Amino acid sequence: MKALLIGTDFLKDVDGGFKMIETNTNCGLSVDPNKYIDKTLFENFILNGGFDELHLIYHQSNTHIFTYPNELEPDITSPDGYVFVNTFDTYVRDFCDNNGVTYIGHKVDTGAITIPYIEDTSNKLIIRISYDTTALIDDTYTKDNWEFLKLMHDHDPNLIAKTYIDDTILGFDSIGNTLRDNGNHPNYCVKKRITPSDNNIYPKLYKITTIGELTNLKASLLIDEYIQEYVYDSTEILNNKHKHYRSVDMLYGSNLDTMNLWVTEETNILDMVITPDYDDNGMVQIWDRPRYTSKSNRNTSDIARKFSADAGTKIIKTDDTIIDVDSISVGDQVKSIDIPDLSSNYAGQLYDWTGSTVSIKNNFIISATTLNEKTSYPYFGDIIEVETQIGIVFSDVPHAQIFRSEVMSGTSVTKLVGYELLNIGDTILIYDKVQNEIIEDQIIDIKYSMENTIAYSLNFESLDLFLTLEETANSSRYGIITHNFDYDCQYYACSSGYVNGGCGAPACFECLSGFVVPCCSYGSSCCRVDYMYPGPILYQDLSVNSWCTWTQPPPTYCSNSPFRHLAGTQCNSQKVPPTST
Amino acid sequence: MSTENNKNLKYQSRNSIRPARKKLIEGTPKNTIKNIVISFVTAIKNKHF
Repeated sequence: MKALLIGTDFLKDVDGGFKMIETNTNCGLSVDPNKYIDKTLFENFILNGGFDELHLIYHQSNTHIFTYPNELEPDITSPDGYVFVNTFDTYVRDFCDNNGVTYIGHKVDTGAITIPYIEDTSNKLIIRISYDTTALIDDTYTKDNWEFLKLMHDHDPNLIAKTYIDDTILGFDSIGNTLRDNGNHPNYCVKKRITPSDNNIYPKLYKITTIGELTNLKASLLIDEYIQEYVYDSTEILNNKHKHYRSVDMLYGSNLDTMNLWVTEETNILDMVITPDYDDNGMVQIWDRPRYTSKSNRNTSDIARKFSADAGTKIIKTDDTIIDVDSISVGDQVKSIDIPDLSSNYAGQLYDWTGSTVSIKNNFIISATTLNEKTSYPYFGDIIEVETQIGIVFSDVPHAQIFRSEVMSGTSVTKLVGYELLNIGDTILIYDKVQNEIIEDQIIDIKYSMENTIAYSLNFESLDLFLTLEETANSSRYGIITHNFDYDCQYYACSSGYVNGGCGAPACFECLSGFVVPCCSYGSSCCRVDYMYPGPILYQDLSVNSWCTWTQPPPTYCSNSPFRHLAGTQCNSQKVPPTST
Repeated sequence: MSTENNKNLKYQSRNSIRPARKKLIEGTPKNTIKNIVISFVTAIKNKHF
């Protein structure tokens, strides 16, 4: 039996009716299924269906638990970012293992639009999450919004928002000449026909006040754009943000029966305001869009783009002059600090590094480092501003890495931490140029904003540290020691469990593309050369004379399976690739 | 006329710039949503099968 997971978005309107906005395959399930899924329904379906095999076809991103949302479900206190345990595939695998059903996972490659062939027999349940361009639902109704809307309009127009599509075959106009009134808030939006689209642009949100303006908006549409009323009910608020609903359902069997797995209430990004800002065309300004949308290319969860600085960041040069990051050029030398125990050849994960605070303060050496690479990106996302006890204000992009000290087992240790993880009360290390010393200073206030700016990835060599200045005027006394994070690639572990009948295997992270290569099954090619860094946790299996990377040491998993031989790879000149014996 | 009143707004809480998520419990809204999904599938079956 074949089954398909779909994710469908809804908005509730002022009349109490729910409007279907779009439906998706290849969706990110994003939640811990143990907390959300209707276990009785799902598990009994498997147990009573006569299945002795369960195949799951998915891409790794389908099962990531994305914890950046403020999780209001009790007992979920995951850290920021992605979580790789308790994912849907591990939940299904564990259930199968405990109930005598053979679980076989089929992890597809990034960008795959087809799936492996699996013979459909009565004893198999084949659940697909990933995209299949040959499937009707995927290629017609989740990819093409016009096909979806036309289908629903013909079936029951009350189940979708009022829509205007200008097309001879799929076109219709249910908006007509009656304007929707959302008060101060936008009442119409322009969207793209084909999914996905650029979340920083679409939907375009407008406040239309006359039929003439609506007519003009229709006339201005691109060939693949359409208009919908913006469904807005001011009472649909959760945590002071406007909310929508995401339903995850399984469609199964030749009769396309439906089983709901869970429904979540999910909010837009920013708190609601009484009145948003509009531009001269009546379109919501970019900084207010996140109040009305749940998606944006925030460039903060984009793994590859761990920005080091935002536009206007001031950096201290070796001669103590100040240069804006916008002006700095490859080859420029800047002031740096040589920190004890953090050499330029450090090959571990930044998050794992610790140093002695006393040793850092007593033994640092002022040095110089050279800008090797500089890349700029348009950035719309979080900027974090930090104020310290002695009145210094710093601000930066979320992933800019700075030094924070904390007491562990009675000793002060220093670790690197991104701006996004700082808390009031944290103690950070700051360089005082006047006194030529590193001081500890406590954070007394943190402010968060979303800004439309330019952000930069910077690679300094041979030292990775540079000094960014306080925000106040032109003073150059205090610099915050910042690490050029992007060039220390991060290692992501596979979700534990079986892949293609074998044991869990290491993940590989492509530094520049930002893709996490699916875990390699036993014997398959995984860790390619160029921009692949397999991760720092290495265990040598003497029985097969090979190395591998694992999230935890053997023999927890696959102790009897030979580990895959790692090719010599490196992300940048800092990395020393492991060599097998 | 364009406005920029909210351009430089800053927030004291990290959660102010993050979406929130919560499970929808059993009840009328959930049942309505489930039924609409069924209706969508019905529409597909009526058209294609």
